[in-house]
Amino acid sequence: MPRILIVDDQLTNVRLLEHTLRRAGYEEVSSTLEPRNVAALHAEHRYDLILLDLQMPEMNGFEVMAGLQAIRAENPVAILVLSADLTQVKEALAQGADSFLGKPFRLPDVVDRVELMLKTAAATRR
Amino acid sequence: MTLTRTVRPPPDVSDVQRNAALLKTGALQDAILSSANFSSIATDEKGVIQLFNVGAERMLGYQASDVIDKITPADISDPDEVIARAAALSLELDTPITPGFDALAFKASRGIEDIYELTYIRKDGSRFPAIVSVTALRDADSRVIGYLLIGTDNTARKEAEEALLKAGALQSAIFNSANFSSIATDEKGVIQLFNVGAERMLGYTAAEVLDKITPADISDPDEVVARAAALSLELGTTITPGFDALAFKASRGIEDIYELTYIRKDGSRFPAIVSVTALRDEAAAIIGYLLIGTDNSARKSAEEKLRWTEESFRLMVESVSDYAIVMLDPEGCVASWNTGAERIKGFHADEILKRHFSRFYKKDDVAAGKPQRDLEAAAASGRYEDEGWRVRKDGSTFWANVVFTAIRDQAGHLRGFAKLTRDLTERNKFETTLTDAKRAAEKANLAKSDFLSSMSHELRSPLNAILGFAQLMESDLPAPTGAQTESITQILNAGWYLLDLINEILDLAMIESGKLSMSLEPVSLVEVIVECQAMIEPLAQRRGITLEFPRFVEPPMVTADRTRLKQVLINLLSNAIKYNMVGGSVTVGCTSTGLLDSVRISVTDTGAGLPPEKISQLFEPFNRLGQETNAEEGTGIGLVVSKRLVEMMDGVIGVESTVGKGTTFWVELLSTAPMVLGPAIEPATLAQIPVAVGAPQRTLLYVEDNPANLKLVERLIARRSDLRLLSAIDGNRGVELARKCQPDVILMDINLPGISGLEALRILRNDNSTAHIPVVALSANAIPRDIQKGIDAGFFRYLTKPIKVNEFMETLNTALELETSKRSGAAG
Repeated sequence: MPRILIVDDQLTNVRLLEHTLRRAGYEEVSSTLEPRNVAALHAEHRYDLILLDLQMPEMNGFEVMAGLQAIRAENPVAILVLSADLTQVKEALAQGADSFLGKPFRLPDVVDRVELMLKTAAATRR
Repeated sequence: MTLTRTVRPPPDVSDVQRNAALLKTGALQDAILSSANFSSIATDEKGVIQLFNVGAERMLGYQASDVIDKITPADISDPDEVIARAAALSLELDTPITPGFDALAFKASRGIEDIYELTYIRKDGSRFPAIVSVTALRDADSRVIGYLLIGTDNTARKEAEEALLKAGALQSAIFNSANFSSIATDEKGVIQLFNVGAERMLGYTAAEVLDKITPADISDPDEVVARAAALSLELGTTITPGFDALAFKASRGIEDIYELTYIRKDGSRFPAIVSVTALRDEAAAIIGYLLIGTDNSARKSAEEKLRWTEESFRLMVESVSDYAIVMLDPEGCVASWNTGAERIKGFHADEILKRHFSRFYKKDDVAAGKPQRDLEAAAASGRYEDEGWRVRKDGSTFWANVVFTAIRDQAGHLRGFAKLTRDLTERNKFETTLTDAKRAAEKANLAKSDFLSSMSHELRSPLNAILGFAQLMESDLPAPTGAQTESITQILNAGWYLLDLINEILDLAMIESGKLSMSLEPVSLVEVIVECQAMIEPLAQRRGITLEFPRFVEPPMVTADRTRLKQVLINLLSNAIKYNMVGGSVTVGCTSTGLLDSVRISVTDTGAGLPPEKISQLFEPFNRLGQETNAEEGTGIGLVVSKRLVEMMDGVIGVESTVGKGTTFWVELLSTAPMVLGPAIEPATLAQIPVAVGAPQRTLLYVEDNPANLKLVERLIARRSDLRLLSAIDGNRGVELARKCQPDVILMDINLPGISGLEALRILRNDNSTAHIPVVALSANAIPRDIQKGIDAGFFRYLTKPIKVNEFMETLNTALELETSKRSGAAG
């Protein structure tokens, strides 16, 4: 069962994504409101996919991806960026994101994308 | 030369007698005999020297004892001259005269007065010309008892004569020239000589002036008076106005050349340059003056003209007050200063002349060496223009335009600089104000755009929660009740509408700040309209509105940004559906207009129509039509955004309406040549694709960086249970993934970050583990040449965006079949 981490500073968004993914059948879904913890959490739990918000006051999504860069080679993880700022698509992909969805999103889109990314990640690791 | 010619003969021939006779010749002879300036040599009747005075000793270098009773005067004379004289006398007197003393004394012996020139030879062998006077000394019976030869050294006179001879040619040339007036006077100034030049210049004949007047009489009297006064002052002695004033300096041995106005006989005047020389006799006593004059009229008039020109030019430069015109010497010191310079810089001429021009610069400019650099730049290229701050006398600054021009003489030596300065402070202030205002406006506009942009993002986050949880509830289990579903639908409708509104505001802000980029390319109108139809049909169905789309015979192509054109058409279509009557219709038309080769797309509804006053407000922001009745949601920004977008595509948008009948919105875009790309596309069939039960699952790898395209393919593949999709966002990851998971078919975008799709294909083809996998290109680039290039590179197929579903699916099927046959071929 793939392990998924949701990173967003807003609790409502975290809840929404947790509900959506759990209902889609993903059971190992965890989350954090504290972007600073992401690298350590991943080192410990080795997620398959991280859903990452970009706009966070303490440490933004780009900084989180930069922090993951060092351990990603050893502990590969797919990153799906979710952002309200659609102009950041290119930048996010260039900085390490594997895919991007704009906010607000339609829930089936999130589920489809997560599924595709996990499939791709699994194929890569094979 | 005066010598006593009558010498009374002595009474006898004895020495005593001779001496006595000599004594009798008187005091003058005495003086002569004892004078060192005359050589006095007395001989006996044979010529043997008996007396040799101090003058003779001095001139000839012999002591009296060397010669007395030993030699004759002929022995100290030039022998050739003695021979020549003997020959000449023999001829003259018709009697043979032997060369020797006879030749010197023969005439005197016959009582003939004899003075001749002779070259004496000194004891040291040197020679000198002498004038010799010979007298016979006689006794009482008049018998010759000896001779007296008195000589003077003629060297000085000889030299003078030679010099005169030499100078003569020049002098006579000058004297006879008509170009010079040569006037010689006696020592009192009375004219003694008046040459042809003087006659020509002054109009007098020589006869009219000789012995009558002085040069002062033909000179300007006022000038003569002024000259007398000036000379009196200069030399500290009283000089009377008159000829003295003209000749005084020359009389004192001072070279004197001056300007003077001569007056002609007819009373007319002319300026002359006069050179005055004193004429002196041998004793240096002044015997007269020579005044040589040249007519200075031509030079004077040229000088006058030049002075006038210079003066008027100077006055012109000085009077210019709008520009500072300043001359600098080669070192940069101020050499001239005009009114404009005074006005602009505040210095009076006397305060700034000879000062260095660096004081017009700001201190930091001076410290940085700018003044010198400016001069060097001007000296190097001839001209240097600069604009910047300069300093006035009071320390205030002004914005100056300065042009330096290097001034060189004919030999190319730098003589200085002309510096032209304009005060552009006012203009600069104006420009600065203008620029500031523009900058402020731009900044404000940018701030507005930034604000709207960030607001848009800020609004999206809470909206995400609203829409997200509403969606959760909508699809929750157990399913919500009918009333709950209605409420949830209201929330979702309002939420999605709010999202549209936010998107349009963001679009408008992006357009207005110039941040919205357009990629104009040939776009197939058919494809765009088909896509729009698919997108808008659900709305029309919900509203019970009939949609009518045109049938194309020849697919028109227009220049547009595909995404933005779609946005515009969707906006027009959704408006036409929303603001329509119940059971109404929307008709889409497409016609080519003759004007400018453009294509018009029209969207006509059967709504209430618009009165003219409303039409004028249509494209103004936030003037939502029908807002009064609040019957229908609409942002009021959609049309504004559409208008801007169409204009950015070099198109035109317009509206025609009849109240009670309906409204037609139209867009005109430039048409482009249709492309040879196969048959027109049928509307996509979005039905589930039937798949054989039990077929093995195959893998499709899609290499694509654009999430929207990825999403579309995700949706398409989701309908096929026989396919699973993998994705990579760039070429390198795509290649890596292909090697690891060996997909059955690869879908490759061409424009990828990092290595391009073509490059990725090359790598896949060269790798044994991937060479067999069919790769389908999927690109927005629909230029035939590039498509051909893609096929040549080895793509299995080259598909262009937007994706035509049937074509896409068929291509995938073909590729998979090929792959299967390859594999089974390899297995068997």
